[in-house]
Amino acid sequence: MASAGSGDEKAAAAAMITLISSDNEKFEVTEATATLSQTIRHMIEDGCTDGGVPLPNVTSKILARVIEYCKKHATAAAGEEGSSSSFSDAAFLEVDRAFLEELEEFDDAFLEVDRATLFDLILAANYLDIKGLLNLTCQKVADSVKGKTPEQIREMYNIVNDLTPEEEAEIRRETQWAFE
Amino acid sequence: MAPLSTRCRTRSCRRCGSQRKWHVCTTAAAATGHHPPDMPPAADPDLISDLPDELLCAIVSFLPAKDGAHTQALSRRWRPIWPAAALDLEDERDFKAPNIYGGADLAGVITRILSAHRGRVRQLRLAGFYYTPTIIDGLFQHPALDKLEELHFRYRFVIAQRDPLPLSALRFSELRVASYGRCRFPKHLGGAVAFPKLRELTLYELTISESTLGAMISACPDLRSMFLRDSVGLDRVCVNSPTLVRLGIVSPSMEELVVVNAPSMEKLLLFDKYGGPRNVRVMFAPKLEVLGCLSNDMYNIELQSTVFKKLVAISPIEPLQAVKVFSLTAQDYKLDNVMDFLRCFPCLEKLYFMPNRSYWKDGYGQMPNGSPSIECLDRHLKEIVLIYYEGSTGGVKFAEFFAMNARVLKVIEVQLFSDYSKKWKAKQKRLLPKRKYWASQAAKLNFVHRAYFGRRVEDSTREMLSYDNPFGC
Repeated sequence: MASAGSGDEKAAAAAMITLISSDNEKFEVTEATATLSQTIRHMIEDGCTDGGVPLPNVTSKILARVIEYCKKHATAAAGEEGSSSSFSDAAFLEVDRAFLEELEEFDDAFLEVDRATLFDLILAANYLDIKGLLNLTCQKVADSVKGKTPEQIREMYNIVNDLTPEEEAEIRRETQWAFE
Repeated sequence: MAPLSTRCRTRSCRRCGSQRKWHVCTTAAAATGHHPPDMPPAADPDLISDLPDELLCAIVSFLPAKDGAHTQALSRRWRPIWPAAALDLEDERDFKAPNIYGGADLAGVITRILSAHRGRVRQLRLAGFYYTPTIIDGLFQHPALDKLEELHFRYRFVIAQRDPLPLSALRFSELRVASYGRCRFPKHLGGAVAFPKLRELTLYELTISESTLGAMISACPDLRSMFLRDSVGLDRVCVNSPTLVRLGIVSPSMEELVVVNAPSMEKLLLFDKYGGPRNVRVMFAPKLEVLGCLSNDMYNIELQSTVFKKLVAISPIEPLQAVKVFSLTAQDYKLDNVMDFLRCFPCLEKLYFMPNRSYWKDGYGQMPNGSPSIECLDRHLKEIVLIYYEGSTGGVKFAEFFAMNARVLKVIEVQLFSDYSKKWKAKQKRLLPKRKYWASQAAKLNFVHRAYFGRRVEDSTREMLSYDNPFGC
């Protein structure tokens, strides 16, 4: 069974998919890269990728970054399949730790973008349904507000406080434990 | 727009010097009112609040509860977000005030949070309670916890007469990951306990009976990883599980471990430094790939029909074809201790050997005459790791044997517990036969400085069982 599977994967790896950004730029990627996106995976399964996959919600600039992420992580996924473990639950994946470190470094570097790009990546990851990228980018934002007071977070993200003093007092009352 | 970042990365922040990973620097902005280049000036639009609710929920679900709660006070837009997001609660992390530690107060705060939460409660980690089983029982009954996916519970202290674990701690049928520690497990689980989705189970520092453990295993039809550590009452453990892939055990007092039927088992890891279990029987585990550490403190070891007494086979050897990684600890580097296992594991690729305790004797056993015909030496053994090698005669002879006989060997890794000089290492190399006499010309000799015993015993299966290389560091 395993050998039949890898044969299929080889065939799939060779297949190319064209992704078309909102500003009409075309990107050729392998199927293995593209299918990190569940959205595209479903399109491929439904056989509606001939002539390219239009992605009207993603600009070419963001799509290029997303593809960069997918390429790197698709290699990781392939490595995992090739490992001796027949058990492929994410929690138990056994990949070379050196490779995991490399992947982590890649992710760190990948996240060094300005804030607008980061939010665009979140939106794209959500739209394309790429769980790893969504978690990575959301975690990045979460970490940036961790340990900060509401005032600091507002300042950081230019959030306008439209709560009345009464509402604010009520919230503080409800979540008093968090402000102790 | 700034060009995409492809420049060389630095490890620390250039503004405040803190580690760069997950770091958004606010130092410069706070100090001078000057915004660093990758931060928008204050007049910039509020981009984050434009994200749809589900994504704001996703973001705050990564926050500790305390920080999550703070986001409610940001603006009207943000107020309903956190209560709708998936929640991970962890008492030691989220509630720092010491006055709420311990009992009713802590339970009160958690209950209030749970009652106000409309989103899914995904994870609960409790380690702050003590002597309060009734309060905990009340807490576990909370309906907001019905769909809990991950639960980690232990009492704050471990005491000889352990506090009971309320049966309600076992009511969560959606659990994927669970750990229970420092408590007395209920004697009878009753028919209602079932964990159809549980994959990782850790039980540590418990008082638990053998039959209760058996019932727990049976209640988890999809169990993949189990880790048992330092529990009282488990003299004899029998494992029957069609799905279990990894089993880890640390239990100096265990008398016997019997793997009766484990058709999926790939790893059997006995982490104990000092002995237990005293008897190990693996009756049926045809996929067993990683095995160890077996020790000369184990009196009786049975691998299928092969019986080892004190590491010496006393029956005909029945090979276990699947074993690829094996770890052994015995007194000093005695070849005799290894030979029977090499025959028992014909497809062995990696062997770890560690002298048991720092017990130095220079008896290295009988060197076999001529070249022994052992399948794994001829065809599979690629790596040998000698832990705690001190350059004793036994160690040198041991390394020499593999250098001379392992035909496809790639590495002899020598792990030292202190960092010896280059001169010492060169001397060790000279003690071995000249390279041209080695059975494998591709083999390398590597010295690695490792603090083997510095390794912490983790409470979680994931940490202990997920390493590809569980016996090294």
